[in-house]
Amino acid sequence: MKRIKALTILVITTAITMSAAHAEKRSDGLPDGGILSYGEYGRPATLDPITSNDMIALRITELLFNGLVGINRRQQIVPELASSWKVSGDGRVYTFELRKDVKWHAKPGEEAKPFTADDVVFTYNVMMHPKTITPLKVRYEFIADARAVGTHTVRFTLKRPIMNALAKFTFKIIPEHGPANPAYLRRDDPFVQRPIGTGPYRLSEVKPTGEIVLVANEDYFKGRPHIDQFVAKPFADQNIMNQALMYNSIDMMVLVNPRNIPELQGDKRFRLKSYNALSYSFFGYNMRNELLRDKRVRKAFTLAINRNEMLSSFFNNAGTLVSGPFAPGSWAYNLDVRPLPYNPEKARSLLAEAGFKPGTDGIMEKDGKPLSLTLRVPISKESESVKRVVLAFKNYLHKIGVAIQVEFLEWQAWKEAVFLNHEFDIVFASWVFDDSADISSLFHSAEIGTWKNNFGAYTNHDVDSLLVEAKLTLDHEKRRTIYRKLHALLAEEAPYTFLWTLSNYAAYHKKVRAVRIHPYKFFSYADRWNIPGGERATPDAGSAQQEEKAQ
Amino acid sequence: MSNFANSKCLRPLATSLLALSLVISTGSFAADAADMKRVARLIETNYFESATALLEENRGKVDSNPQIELMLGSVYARKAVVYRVFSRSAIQTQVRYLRTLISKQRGIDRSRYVYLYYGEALLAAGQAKQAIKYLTRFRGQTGITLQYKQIADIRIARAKHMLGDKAGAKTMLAAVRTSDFLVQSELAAASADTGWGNLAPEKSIDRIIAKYRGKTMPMRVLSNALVVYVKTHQVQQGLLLIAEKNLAAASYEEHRGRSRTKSLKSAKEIRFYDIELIGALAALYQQAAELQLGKMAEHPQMRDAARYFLAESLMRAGKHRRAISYIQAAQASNSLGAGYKARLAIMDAAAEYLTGKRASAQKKIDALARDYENQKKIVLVADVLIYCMEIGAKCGTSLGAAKRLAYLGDNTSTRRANFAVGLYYHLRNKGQHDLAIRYLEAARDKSNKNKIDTNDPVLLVSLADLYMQTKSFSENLEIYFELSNEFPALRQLQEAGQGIYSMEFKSAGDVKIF
Repeated sequence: MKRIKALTILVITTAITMSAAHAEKRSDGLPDGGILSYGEYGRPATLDPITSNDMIALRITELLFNGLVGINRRQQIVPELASSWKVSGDGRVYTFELRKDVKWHAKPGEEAKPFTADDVVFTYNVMMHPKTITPLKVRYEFIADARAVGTHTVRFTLKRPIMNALAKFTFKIIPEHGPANPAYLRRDDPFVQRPIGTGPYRLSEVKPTGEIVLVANEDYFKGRPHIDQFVAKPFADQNIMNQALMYNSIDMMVLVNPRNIPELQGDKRFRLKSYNALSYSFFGYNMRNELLRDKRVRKAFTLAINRNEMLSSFFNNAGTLVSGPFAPGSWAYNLDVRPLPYNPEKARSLLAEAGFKPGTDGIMEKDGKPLSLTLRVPISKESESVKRVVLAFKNYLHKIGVAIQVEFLEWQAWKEAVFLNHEFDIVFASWVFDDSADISSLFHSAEIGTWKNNFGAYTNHDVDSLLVEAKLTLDHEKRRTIYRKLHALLAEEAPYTFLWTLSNYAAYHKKVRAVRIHPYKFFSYADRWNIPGGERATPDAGSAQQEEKAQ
Repeated sequence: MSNFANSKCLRPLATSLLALSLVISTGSFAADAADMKRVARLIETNYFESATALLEENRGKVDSNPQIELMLGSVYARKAVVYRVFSRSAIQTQVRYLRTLISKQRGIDRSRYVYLYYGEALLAAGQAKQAIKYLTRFRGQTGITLQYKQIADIRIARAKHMLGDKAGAKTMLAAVRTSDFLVQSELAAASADTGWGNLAPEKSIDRIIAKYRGKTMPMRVLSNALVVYVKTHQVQQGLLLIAEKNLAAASYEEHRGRSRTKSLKSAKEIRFYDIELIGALAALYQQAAELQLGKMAEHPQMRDAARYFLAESLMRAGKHRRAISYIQAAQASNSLGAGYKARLAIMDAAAEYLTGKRASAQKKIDALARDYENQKKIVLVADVLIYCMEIGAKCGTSLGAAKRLAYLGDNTSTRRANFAVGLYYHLRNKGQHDLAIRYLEAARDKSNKNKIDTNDPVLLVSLADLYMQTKSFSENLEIYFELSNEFPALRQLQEAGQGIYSMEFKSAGDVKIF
């Protein structure tokens, strides 16, 4: 109670009222025009910000939608659809004044409609509706109520004060007149394939080839973006995507395979831009398979594979091994926990300790059940490097008597197998986090279920308890202490074999200027990107100087 | 164009020279040739701690090997440079972390020890008045043990000494009566720092260290001992002290509050680190470099290379008066090639500037920048700019030359120019963070962006500092994550950086699969 009182006083004294800039045409002198085609490693299943849960969709939605507020690159909360806001003294009521000059992208054959407070309330209600399938729900359970208190005023009441509450209002707003169903949103609603937003680009076309064409929103409230069109082109293979860039079929790759970095670095037509996504790759285990429920088995798998060797051989060592559920660049990473060393002998003894014995075919078995497992990998990850990783994993496990059947699936089929039907024993995938490094949706037992992120059905009472405690605390150092403990605990529990984080590089043609990349959302600053007429790039220019001039 | 000037990598000159001296002396001495090659490779890839360990190991195998002694000297010199940069960064980061922690904490579980360590960090940053304020606040809290009250008193005395209140400092130190080893080590460090005290601090610290034989030495004792050895120039004792010690260990772990989860010892565990440690290491390595290279500067077969290294090391440490004689001696050498002579000319001009002949030295510096630019000697132009910056001369000419050369293209040969320009914007034109980052990023090897194998640690730390200042926290932490594998003492930077990040980030709590 005392703590809340102290917070109340603090919030009263720091109540924020910020003014937004007026909506007007851009006066930055940068040229309009041009098309930017970028390579993606797949096609998103849905294009709306509520039902989607992958990075491809996140990048698209960043171009199509806005939140009430944004976070700039200096970690400051800045106005977006809200022009100002006030926080009550007890930190529980957030009142947003909305911009009056924002219009939704026009539906075909219709006039563009204005954005109002009802859209905000609608978005919240849809997001929290029990029938809406979204990973966002768990993040917004702290809100008790949302209501419009005027055409351009909306009020949120919180169940309790939370840390960084304002930053949570970055969630993207969808229009009340958008979805066919007025109460909830499902993947069969036409809106998820043909969404309209308020963002700098509007959806023009989804081609049969999977190409997604976005065109500049002439009425964008921050001013028309400079580039006329963004075209997302899906590629099943990263090597082919790289070739497409080399042969000018695309202008940008959102993620470069580390093996291609030296080639691109030496090519004066392109720029490489690093961005630090907090991500890591892993093999995730399905606890629904009783053989995998024993942590000694999962730990044995981790000990059986030589991760250093894999990172070095398949990714040119352009990354770092991780020991737990956070990326090394995260504030939550426990530096005391070291990755388990490669130790196949210990792996074998752990399996023996867990009651496994070699069968007649050499495969370990327990109670007549062989350790023969399916590994499902999304085909979008079917680059040369990933194929090698998967094959190496299979070979390493074979050496300790574990049989692995690898199956590559198309992205959507893979997601359905993993998140919907839970038909897998092991998956190979990667998580990307924003700065919060919030792992509650990955490991809390309440997050087991259809389209939820705890797809492996991992359950541990201590982990649940720590995750809840981390969510409730208003003390940064307490949260850090809890996360350190969670890291150690999950490293020991091994619901995943944590692998590595790779250096993220985007590559793009030098004709594209003023490129600043958001480390997580990627296209947050894309409305300032521009392509000068005649592609006046000077290929021999030093990159830093060229950028210095371009800014 | 000499091979040196035409170098296509960012490796410091020291590396090239080491390789040269290695070649010169191959077969002449009894060192294990395979090991020496490994050492050369380790130095080339900036693994200075590993190189030192291997050299020390080989040193034990043979009675006397000038080749090893020279290499050790030059590695110490490189370590001194990088640890000075680490130290600057550590102080900035610790001050920011502890200040933010104080500003954010409230309630009954708030940290008490943060005031002590913030006071110490402010003292290390030269802010003695502010340090006294926080140290006094620390010792005034309830529940602080006599041991830590005395530690705070001793630090207050050191702050007073820094402010010129020598009598006040002396009085405070004299009032401390203790049999506690932690406090005694503080007294010894204070005595070495201020010159006060009847007992020789090195004897006092030797006695304290002896008490920890076979036991884990607290980091505060180790750090204080290092300060004493540096202040009293006990180089070998200092090196022996840190051998095989865990330099990543915290000075103090504070536990506050009770957790609702049984598996947590307390609700909050805060780790505090000894701020003087990294600076003391830098000073120790500088002294070790000077000692080793000074000996080798008299050795008939090693003297030319040793004099060169020594001149460079002294210049980089700001000891230009001592450097001058070695610069001149090396310039007179017949065995050093044109590339080294060119570099010596830069040092000579820089030393001249520091001795007060500014106008003539400035002309020389500008002329060197122009000449090397005309000859497209990119690395030399970059070096002119770096020296120019370090001595505080006017750098318009050398900056222009370096920028023009950086403009020649995006390849490994221009990275050194980008590095120097980026460093200029980082250190001289403070506030131009974005510009500094752009140039330094252009100097970074993209294939292994955080690895020291292909990136100079000074480049990486400069970038890490800039990313901390611009709140790109994860970039900062990733750099230190890699660096700390080779330099464990950087742990304090990692922990403080994590702390700042955890308190300053804003996010919605999103996570996606890919």
